[in-house]
Amino acid sequence: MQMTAERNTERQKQFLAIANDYKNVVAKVCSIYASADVPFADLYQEVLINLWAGIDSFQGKAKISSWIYRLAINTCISFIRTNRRHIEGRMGLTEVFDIPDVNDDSVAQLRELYRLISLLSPIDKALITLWLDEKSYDEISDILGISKANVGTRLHRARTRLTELASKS
Amino acid sequence: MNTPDLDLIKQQWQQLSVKVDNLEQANQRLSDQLARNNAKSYQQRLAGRVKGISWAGLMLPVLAPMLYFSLNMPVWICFVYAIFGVVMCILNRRLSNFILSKNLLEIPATEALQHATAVRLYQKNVRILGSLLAILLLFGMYYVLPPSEHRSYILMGGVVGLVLGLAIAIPRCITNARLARSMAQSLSDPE
Repeated sequence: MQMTAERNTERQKQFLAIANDYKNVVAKVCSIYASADVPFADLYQEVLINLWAGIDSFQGKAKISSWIYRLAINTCISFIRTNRRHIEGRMGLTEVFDIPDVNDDSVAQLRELYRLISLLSPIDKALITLWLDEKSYDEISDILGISKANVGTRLHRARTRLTELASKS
Repeated sequence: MNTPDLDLIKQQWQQLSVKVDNLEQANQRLSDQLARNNAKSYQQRLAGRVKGISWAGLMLPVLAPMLYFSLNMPVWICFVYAIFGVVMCILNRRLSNFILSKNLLEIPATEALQHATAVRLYQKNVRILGSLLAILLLFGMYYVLPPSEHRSYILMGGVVGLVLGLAIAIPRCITNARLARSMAQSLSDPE
């Protein structure tokens, strides 16, 4: 069905408003899942394509930030081919984010955390990302589709895994 | 990682901001493209590709009479050839529908991961089944070829291709199976 020009313009405005307001969220999720095999730009574009497709169906049904997280995570997870190795995120943080390029311990730890998160399984990547962004267990449970009790258990396991990976490196 | 550092890292993580110019330009460009209906998601592109392959399968029934009239193959081979094409068409159409069966906007992440894994597995199985049927068909066609001095070379070429193909496919199958298992493990409920 051909959309009217007005409807299209309205939709474009809505799309741009959401895409620009939540570009940080989308960029963070895409950067976690990006690798040499799956470039950040491809993932980012895919998320926005799905955002466009889903704007009409959303319309305030749920918290928009949760919806954006779910959209971004699902898109990245589906895009990544299962026959690709889980290699370290080759894309540096500074390629996408404004991050102080200083020789500071905390900044170095942030980079290291990002590198280690890239080594986790797809669901654990999402879990840690949502936890870092201080999403509630309810929201994490809704976005990931795991029980609230399971969120705590899996989060503990993911953090333990991160510690193990950190001690190996 | 020590807990106090983790709190600081969490704070810094939340303050990460995007290099604005590039992404906002990309957003504008893409929105113009989407408004012109020029962009399809990966899911749609994959389903479209598979659907295109399914149409190719329907070419075989069209070409089957040539086997009889041009190559003097028996009628039963022509039927098997045509049926193979129809079977592959149906399998690929079903795969295409399966790819689009889940709406990524409405399902949780674990379900999205399960679906992605299931799609890959479905693709792999269609490829394996198609390859096996094709090999059987080729052997059948070879069997009914009239005797000639070239027959042994055709057979040798087929065997070499089969060996090379298996040498490439088997390690990849093992790797894919291992990855699929680790995906399944990551989805399993620890409770």
